Amino acid sequence: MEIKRRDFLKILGVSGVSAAVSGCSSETSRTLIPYLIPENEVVPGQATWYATVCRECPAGCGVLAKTMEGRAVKVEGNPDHPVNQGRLCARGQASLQGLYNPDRIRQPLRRGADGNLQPVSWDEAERILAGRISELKGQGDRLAFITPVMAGSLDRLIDLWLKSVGGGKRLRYEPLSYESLREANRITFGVQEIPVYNLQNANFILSFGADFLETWLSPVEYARHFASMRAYRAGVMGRSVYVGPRLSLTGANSDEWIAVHPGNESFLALGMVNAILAEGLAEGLPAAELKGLQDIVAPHTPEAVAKQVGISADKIRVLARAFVKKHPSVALADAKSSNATDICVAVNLLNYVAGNVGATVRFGAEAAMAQVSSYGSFQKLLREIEQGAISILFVAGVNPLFNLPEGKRLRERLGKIPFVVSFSSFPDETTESAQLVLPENTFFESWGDYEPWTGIRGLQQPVMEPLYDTRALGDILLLLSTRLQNNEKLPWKNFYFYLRDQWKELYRRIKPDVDFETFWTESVRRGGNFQSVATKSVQLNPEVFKKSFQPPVFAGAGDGFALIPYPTLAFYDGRMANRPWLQELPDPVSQIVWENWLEIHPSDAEKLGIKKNDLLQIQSPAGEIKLPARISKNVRPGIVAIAVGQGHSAFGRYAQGRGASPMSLLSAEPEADSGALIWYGTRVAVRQTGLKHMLASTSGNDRSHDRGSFRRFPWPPFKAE
Amino acid sequence: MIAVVIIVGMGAFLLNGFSRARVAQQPIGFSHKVHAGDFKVACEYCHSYARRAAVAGIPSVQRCMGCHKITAADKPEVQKLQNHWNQKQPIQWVKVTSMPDFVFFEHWPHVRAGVKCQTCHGPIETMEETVQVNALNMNECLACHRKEKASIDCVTCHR
Repeated sequence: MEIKRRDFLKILGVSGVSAAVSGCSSETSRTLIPYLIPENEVVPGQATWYATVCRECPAGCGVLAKTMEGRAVKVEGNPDHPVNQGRLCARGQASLQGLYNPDRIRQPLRRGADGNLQPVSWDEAERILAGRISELKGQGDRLAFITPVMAGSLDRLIDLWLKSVGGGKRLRYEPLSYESLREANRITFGVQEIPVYNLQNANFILSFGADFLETWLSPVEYARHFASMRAYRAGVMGRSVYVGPRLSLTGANSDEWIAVHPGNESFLALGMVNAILAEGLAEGLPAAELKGLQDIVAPHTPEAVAKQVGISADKIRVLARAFVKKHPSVALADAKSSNATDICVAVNLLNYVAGNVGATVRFGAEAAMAQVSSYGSFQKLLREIEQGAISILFVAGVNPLFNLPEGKRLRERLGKIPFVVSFSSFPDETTESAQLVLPENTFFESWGDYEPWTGIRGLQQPVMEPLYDTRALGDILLLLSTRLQNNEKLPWKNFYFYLRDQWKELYRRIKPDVDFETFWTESVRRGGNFQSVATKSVQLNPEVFKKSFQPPVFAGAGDGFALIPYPTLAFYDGRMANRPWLQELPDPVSQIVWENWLEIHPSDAEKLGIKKNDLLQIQSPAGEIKLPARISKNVRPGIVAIAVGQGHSAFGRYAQGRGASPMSLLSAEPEADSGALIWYGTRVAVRQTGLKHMLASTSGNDRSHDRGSFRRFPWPPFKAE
Repeated sequence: MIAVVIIVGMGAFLLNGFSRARVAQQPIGFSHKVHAGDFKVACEYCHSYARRAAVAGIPSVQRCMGCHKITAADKPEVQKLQNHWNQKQPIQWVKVTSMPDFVFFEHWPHVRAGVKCQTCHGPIETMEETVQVNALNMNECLACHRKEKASIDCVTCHR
């Protein structure tokens, strides 16, 4: 029987109706199940909002979590929190996909005889762990505890807990650390801190590689500052110049990009200082300081720098003049090369001579990030692990096996010697090597506090019951302490009581006019307690006058490309790669989704005969990876850039099998002055594999092909500079 | 063959169409007549969200047990309720009243405007077994909204 097209559609239409109708009347959708015991704060269909703190990155933004029927369904920025003032970034929005992630670890796991992780009860897990700790017999230094920067009650509880078991090494690990900045502040001003940067009051931002719109220190805060300084206010629009080898989102939003070779930023800053001093633009400097500064920058005349950096001496002078005349201005540095501290010192001097220190760069309130342990201390720990001096390793909230360049080596060692306990909420590269996994609650399910800057104390409250059989880290430690009969030293029933006690101390210190219960309830309701801290005046540290400035050093063959690994807006250091929303969020500059790539300049690509989407082999003395090419003028010639964050081998279904991580290519050298990991210190060889790997881009093309997509028109208030 | 498909399709449609009018088999033989009619329990005593939320809310088992721990504790249907409470199992009631799709209905503005529950739900205080008496379609909504001079703007309900 022949069916005509029209008849076929008729059949399809009718059977579609019957399918739809029977679909609606299925028995499950027709039952109404009321609560057994109703929740006090729940009204069906009505949202309840709870203030808490986003813990996806160290910026510590305040968030409001919208809950419906006891489930968090949306997060927004908390308008009362001074860091983000109601705004929230894509990572913060995607934090819900951490909470509801299908790959979450749902109960404690232990490694069985067959090498696989198997479920155990909390009771059994605690018994095993307590046994292991008792075996130390007071040799506390055989225990090491790695956490991120926590800056709050939990941080202090971990220290107390370690003390109660007889000591132990404590490491605060952040893959994106600012050790060179901290060390440079010590050398320049004698304060080992990270100051507050007041970008909104600046008329000129000169960023030396600091991607403050993506990841640098406190991106949501700085994006707000940037928008405000770029707004047409009081007749002028703030100016922004980006200096660095790669055009990041921050660079793309600036008026100008100066593409220097990585590590040469220090010379540009010194050249500017030289020009400012030579033209007598620096005001109010004591004679001794002026003399000292002139001596440091004497070799770095604009002419000399012009040769090193590749821009004209006049250009350096114009920049220098604008930087001083647009007072207050601000120079920011995020240095990752072998001379990182030099760059940060040079930028500090630039801020100092332009009179920005105390105006847009304010010491006094300190960033929590300054508490980070240096990369050098990790290398020390690694050596101790290799020598067998560590028996138990606790890892909470970080994934060093993915982020450290020594990840592979560490994995081999961890497999043999110590007893590794992971507190991760998700399976990751570190839980792969763990003997015991005690899953932590996500921040939506636990109490806590976080002080990203001195005086800004965000209070974190659980917005819902834990979804699975997981516990808060503080509670795990206190229960363990009970089992080890250390209750005298740690008398708290659970972490909530410890947190309240800590806030009682804060209450006594700041003496508000209300009783403690009112203070506590108000702090929980508002999302924290926020105080401003007085600015501390700083002077030049005499040590800075002895500083010599070195050119950057690169490992690997001299004809290779300098490798620029960079963190991204979506994945930060890679901890967010298991969030599908972020995987499908196009990279803001290249519009590519789901994977990472190698970015190379067209002139270099032409020399090597590389075409778009060619799969390349990227080799360094430390390792090799394969990635497709993206040919773009967003990188300067002589370098290749690769985003960090993809290339996970064990981080759940959404992060699996996407791209590669450039960290394994790094030569794992600490910087001489600060001990920070050198990110920009490796040369790589790039070779064709003869294969193609298509990248998914949502834009299709980078060019407008004269379609008139963008028009320029003059607006009188904006005058050419 | 086309005719067969059409008949089967129509059959499925008609069956589903009629099933609305049928009395649903509830897990417990609950009578609105006894509660709201004979004993004059206020509607909002049990449907406690009606004044505050989109849904009126089916009472929690705890709310039922507030009275039935003692009241009529010997009745077999009440013992079914007590079993649910003792086993900490919520009751799976079968839904009786439905609105058409694509309408955004909230109880609270209607309750607060003084609309009687019976206006839409019929003489519920006389029903031994609860049924839907009004179609609750756009015709009925608009008739009442016009009569009471409530908004008949499209986006009031279709948003």
